[in-house]
This record gives sequence, C-alpha cells and structure tokens, in this order.
Amino acid sequence: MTNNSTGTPQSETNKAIGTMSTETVSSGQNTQLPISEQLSDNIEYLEKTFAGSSDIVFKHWNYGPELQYTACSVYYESLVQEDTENYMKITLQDLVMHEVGPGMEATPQDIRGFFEHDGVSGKKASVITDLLQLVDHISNGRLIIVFEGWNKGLSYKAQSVETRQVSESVNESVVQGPRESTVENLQKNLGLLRLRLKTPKFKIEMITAGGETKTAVAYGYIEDVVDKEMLAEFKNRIAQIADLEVLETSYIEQIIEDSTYSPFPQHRYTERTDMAVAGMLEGKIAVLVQGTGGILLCPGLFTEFFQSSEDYYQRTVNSTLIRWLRIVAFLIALTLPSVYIALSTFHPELIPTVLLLAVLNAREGIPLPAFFEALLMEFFFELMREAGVRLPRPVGSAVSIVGALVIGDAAISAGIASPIMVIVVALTGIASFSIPQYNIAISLRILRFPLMISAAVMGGFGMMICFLFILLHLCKLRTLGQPYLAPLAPLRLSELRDVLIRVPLKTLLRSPRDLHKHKHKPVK
Amino acid sequence: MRRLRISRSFRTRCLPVMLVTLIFAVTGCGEIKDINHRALPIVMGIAPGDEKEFRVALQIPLPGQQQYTVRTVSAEGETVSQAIQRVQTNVENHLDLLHLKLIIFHLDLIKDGINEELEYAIRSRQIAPKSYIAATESDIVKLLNSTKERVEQDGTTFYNFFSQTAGWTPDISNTQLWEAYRAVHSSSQDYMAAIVGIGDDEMLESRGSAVIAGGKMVDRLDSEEMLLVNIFNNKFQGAVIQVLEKASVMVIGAKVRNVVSIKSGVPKLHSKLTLTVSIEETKGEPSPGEIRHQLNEEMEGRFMMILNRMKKHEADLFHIGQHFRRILTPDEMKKWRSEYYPQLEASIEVETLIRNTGDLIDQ
Repeated sequence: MTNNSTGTPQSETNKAIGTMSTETVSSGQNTQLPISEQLSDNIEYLEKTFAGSSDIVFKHWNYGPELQYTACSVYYESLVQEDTENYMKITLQDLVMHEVGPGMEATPQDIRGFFEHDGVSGKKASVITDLLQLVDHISNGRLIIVFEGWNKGLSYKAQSVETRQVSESVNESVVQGPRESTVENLQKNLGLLRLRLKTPKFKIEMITAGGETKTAVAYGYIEDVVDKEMLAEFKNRIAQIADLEVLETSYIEQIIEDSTYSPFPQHRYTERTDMAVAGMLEGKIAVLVQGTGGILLCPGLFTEFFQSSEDYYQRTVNSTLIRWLRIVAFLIALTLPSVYIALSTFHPELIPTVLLLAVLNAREGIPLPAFFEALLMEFFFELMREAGVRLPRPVGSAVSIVGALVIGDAAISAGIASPIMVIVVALTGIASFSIPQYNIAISLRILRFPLMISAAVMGGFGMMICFLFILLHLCKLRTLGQPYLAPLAPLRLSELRDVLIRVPLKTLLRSPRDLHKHKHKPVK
Repeated sequence: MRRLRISRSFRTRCLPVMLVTLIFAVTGCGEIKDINHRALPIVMGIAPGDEKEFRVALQIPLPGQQQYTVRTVSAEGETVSQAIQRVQTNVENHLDLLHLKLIIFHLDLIKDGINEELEYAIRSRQIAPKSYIAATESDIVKLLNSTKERVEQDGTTFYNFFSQTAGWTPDISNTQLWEAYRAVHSSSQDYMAAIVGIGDDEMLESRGSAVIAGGKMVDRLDSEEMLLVNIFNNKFQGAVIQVLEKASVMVIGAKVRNVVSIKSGVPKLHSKLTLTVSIEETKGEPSPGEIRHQLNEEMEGRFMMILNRMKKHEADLFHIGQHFRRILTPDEMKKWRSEYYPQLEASIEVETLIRNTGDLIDQ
C-alpha cells in the first residue's frame, strides 16, 4: 500500500522533470509563444524579458498616413550599428519602391503583404513569428521591428562589434608561407577557409551551443575525403554541446576527447588557416567557435604533432631533417633529466671516463642527490616558464633576466646545482620549445616527472618500465575511434610518407585522397 | 549471502596504480649511492703481498672543486676481494669498480697463474669485461704512484696507452679482460699481456709481452715478435716493418687464409698471408721486387720461429686450434694443446703487394 501511494507521485514528478528539461533544451526552437497582434503586449513581454539591461533600446515609430500606425524597433545598443534609424526607413522605402508608391501611405497590411511574400528589400530581413525567437535574435545582435496589427516581426542583421583584424599568427609563426591567422569572428574565419577551399565539397555545418551563451559553433570537412564513420561519431559527440556553454574551441576539444586523463592531446589546435585547410584535405574535421580564433582539427594523431605547416613550404631534404630534429628534441625533452639521473646514480660505467671525471668534479660539494637536484632545477624552470607566460609583456623580460641568474650562474656558485645539471635542464627546456605544437610540449612536461622518479628508483630499468607504460597507453589510446599511434601502430607503410620523412611534395600530393576511406578503420 | 566483490572501477583503475606503487617499495633504492659519493678507480694493480697472499692497489681519482687529485690506495688480503674490502674501509667514499679500465698483474703472480683472479674479476660483476689487462715487473704501488701526476692531467692516460683509437701501436698487446677469461675455458685460444714498467721520461715503458697459457706465463715476446702476432691476428693498424736494412714499410692491409687438415692424427696447416704495404723509407736503391722478396722471407722466418717456440710451450697464440674445430670432436679439442698442437706441421706463404712506392723507387 505504502509502495503504491509513494510510487505514483514519484513517477509524476519524474514526468514533470522530464518535460521541464525538454522544454529548457528546446526553448529556442520549438516552443510556441506567438507574437501578438497587439504591439503593446509584445513590448510588455520584451520589456519584462530584458528588464535590468541598460543597453536595450526600445524605439517607437509612427508611420503611414497621418502617422497613425505605430511600430517599435528593439535592439542592444552595445551590439548594433549607430545608424539604426535607417532600418525603419529602409523598411518603408522597400515598400515605397515596390508596392505602395511614393508618399507616406504604407499601412500594416502593406508591410504584412510585402514581407510575407518575400518582397525584394534593400537590407536582408527575416520574418519572425515567435516571441522567444525574437528574444534570441535580439540577443544575437539583430535589430527587431514589430508592428502594431501584425503578428510577425522583422529581424535585420545589424551587428557591429569591433573585431580584431586578420593579422600575423602569434603562436605559430613561420619563416616561409602565409602569415594570416584567424580572428575572433566566426564568419570571417569561415570566409578565410572558403577562400582557400573553392569547392562545394567543403561543407560547413553550424550548431549552437546551449546554455546562456548561445555560441555558434561551426565544423567543416571535405565530403569525399572525410571518413564517414568518423564523421558520424564526431556528430554524435558534438551534439553534447547543445546544452553546454562553449566559450573557446578548447571546450569542444575537452568535451569530445576520448580520454580525459591522458596526458596526450587528442586533437590538434591551430590558428593558421592554411594548416586547417591542409588538415581538412587529409580528412580532418575543423571546428570553429564564434568569439575565438582557435581551430580544432579532429582527430589529432600522435605523429601529426611533429608536423608544422612550414614542413610543406620548404624543400624535402630540409623539412625531413627538421622533422628528425624535432623527434630528437621530443626524446631529449622527455628523457634527458631522467637519463642523467639514471646514468649518474645507477650506471656510471656508461659514462665515458673523461666525462665521468668532469661530472664528478661538477657534482662535488652539491648537497642534494641527483634526483632532487634535477627535480629542484626542473621546478625552478617550470616556475619561470609559468611566470613568463602570465606576466604582462614589459615585465616579462625581467623574469627572464632574474630566471637566467637563478637557474644559471647563481645556482652554481651557491652550490645548489651543478653546471651539468644546468645544461641538462636548459637543454630540456630548449628541446621542448622546438616542438611545433604547444599542447604536446605540455604533455612532455607532465611525463618528464614520472620518468625522473622511475629513473631515480630503478635506473635504466625503471625508465624502461615507465616507457612501457607510456607506450601501452599510447597504443591503447583512440581518438574519434582511430588509433592514436597510426600509422606507426598499426603499421601502415603507405602512410609513413609524412611521418619520419617528408616525401617530395610531388609524391605527397599525388596520393589519392579517398585512400583515407580504407584506412583508419575505427576500432570497436 | 552476498559475496564481497571488488568493484570493477577499483580493479581497472586503482589496483594497477597500487601495484605499480608497490614496485617502488621493493627496489631498495635507498642503497643507491650518488656519483659523487663513489670512488671510481681507473687502474687496479694486483701483486703478491708481503704478509698475505695478495696486495691490491687502486688508483682513484678524487673529485675536487676545480681539479681532481689522484690517490693510490693499497691493502693486502688472503683473496683479491678481501684486499679490495680492506681498501674500502680506508676510503671515505663507496668503492665501485665499475669504471676500471686497466688491471695490472705483477709478473710473479702471472708466473704462478692468474686464472682465479680472472674468474673473480668476471664474477664480481663490477669490472667491465672490456677493461684491458697488463703485466709489470715493477712494484705496483710504485708504478701507480709514479704515474699519478700524468693521470691527474688526463684521467684516461692508462686507457689511451692501450686504446686503438689513441696511443696504441701493434707492438703492444692490448688484451681485454674477456679475452683472457675466454682463454681460461678455451682449449685453443691463448693470449698475451703487455709488460709495462715505470718509464724514465714517459709515463709507461713497454717491455714486450708475456705469453700466458693455462693461466701461467710461459714465454716472453719482444715488440718485433709481438708485431707479427698482431698482424697475423689482424691488428695491423699503423704497423711499420723494417725490411733488413734496406727499407721500412707500413702495413696497410693483412689477410690470412688458413687451410687445415688432419692426416693420420697429425694436424697440418697451410697459411697464406697477403700483406699490402706502402713503402715509407729506403736506404740505397732497392727494387720493389727485392723488398717484396726480403719481406716475404723475413715474415715466413719469424712466423715459423715463433710458432715453434709456442708449440713447445703449448700456447696457441695464433688461435690455430680454432680452425680444427670443424674436424675434431669437442672431446678431441680438449686435448688440442697437449696432443695435437705440439705435432702441428705448419707451412706459411707470405705474399706482399706494394700498393704505394711513392717517389722512393724508380719503377
């Protein structure tokens, strides 16, 4: 009995919650709240909705014979252009030009007839029937005009917020190649991409992230090149953002990535349009977000983090050598401190005698064991790097001067660190800076420490164990269903043309693009 | 009754982390000593002791702020390891033989046999098998002390003396520890150890080589003989041979072909040594043919002389027995030194090619 009596209300509540949540999710699109024919009702609703915002403007107009009809335009002052008055004029002018003839004889019926039958207008206007949609449009920086006696509203695109001009890429600078980088305007960015991909196969799909921001998110791909199953999986995952607030492209990265706790980035991030286009030509999906310049290339495979757009603008031999340099830099940045610890505490026999004697002299009088010395110096270095990133630019140089003194000379003369250790830390730092993708350099910073600990505990054997774990993780990692280490593991020889060596561009460009369909089968 | 079950997320996530953490607990990393708390001797000398069986002397570079100093520490013991233990008690840092580059045995010790010492060196697992071995007639402590100043300037001096990439020449034998250890268990490979002494002006003075067979010194070769053995064993780098009094030639290539057979229990060997030489210096005006002829004869003569001496000592310096391994059974090979080798009938044919006469000889 008790069960029955409690069961019913519970299920009712569940139902209620269910309907409520559907309502909130779809409030922008489905729920009907029709615009009233009474202008005052509409204005009252809008005034209530936008109450408390000082930048909302309600501008009342009178028009028609003897100015007997009323209309009202609503917009955010902070978002739209200053010449807003023109829109009412434009609306009337459109009518005058095509239907009513000269004079001030427009009636609501004329307006209604004209816009409902898609009359040619001077500025692009869309007709809105729903009040909630009206609110959406105002929030998006459009100008709304509602008329007395017509249950529809006109929405004009009038947004004008100052945006940054297309400028040189700051984070991914190159010597050769285009300098342009993305800005914070989605349409501009999409335009930059379209300029480079003049084909109808380049599809751009738009979705709106949910929550309060209503951010427009676009993703583009090239229809014939992209893997269909991967695209389906991507769409499936990005649907999650419908009720999440998205402020930056990296939000999307974190929402759609396979392994949240992996130190390795699973998608590539760029602000260069040429890189984004090259990625899409290889079958990637590019994600752009309104209000931020970052482009996310999904999926990002391990080997791709060693590629830079400049690799393709330079001659084959040069870029292959530089590719190798980066791989060596990767290994140095990952292992050098731990190799030093392992060699100096466990395997001194591996150090050539002359160097050994030099190391012995250098380490004489250092109070800390090699591991703690390395840990301390790495900590100093990371501290300096973090301080340098966050500080305003004029102060930044002060950090580098102080840092150079602390990590360099002073630490040695104070007897805290040995010169060899300073070399090791400095080399590690320089090596990690020479990796083109910033986010994989961060994962190196993280992995360096477990490696150092294992080297301090078990020497080369410990490093081996640690490497095995890293390798296992890398082999297991999937990104959008694709193996992260491809084409190294599983080995696909035909795709190795852009991994360890960069084959001549002639060969690289001739390779059939739809090859991609047969590769990277998602692993279930 | 409900069974207590470990949850799946615990099994897949926490358990591996716990197990990996346990690895660190069992490593015993607390015993690891930092590099600057280790004494890493570079040269070890072993000699018969005054009171006890062995005296072991170690030359240890000790780090300093600017320049390291070299100290020679020695102690006596009934066994080599005991003597090293005694040294350890006198040294403030942890003694570590990992970086040993050279082991010098006193000749008196080699005459009694050094097989046990070699076994110890390998079994200790500290001494690198690629470290060199040498012999000396001088007092080892004095030898190590006298070379101190030179080692202080360059820690690798001793190593360089034997290293093929530095100051080694083919008239010094540069046997490594593993080669000596191999001879302990091999029935057909014997070795030599360079005999060094305190030099007057130089740090070390080469005084020929000791031939060691069955762990004991059986003969002594001078540097000319040493050169031939090395050329025959394909170590001819920079070797210069004097041809009578007429010319000196530099060996730039040496190739040996051996044809072996056993007829009615008697092993037969025919070797063909092809020498490629370039003429370095001439006296008078010898013709190329003359030089070739002289060189061939001289090499043949020296080879036969050394081989006959070695046969007497049952020391297989040229590793001739190796070529009979495909004919003799393993059991027969064990008797190689005692039964077959002394009966060996060997002949050698030397062919010389003069690659470069320079302007020294008119063709």
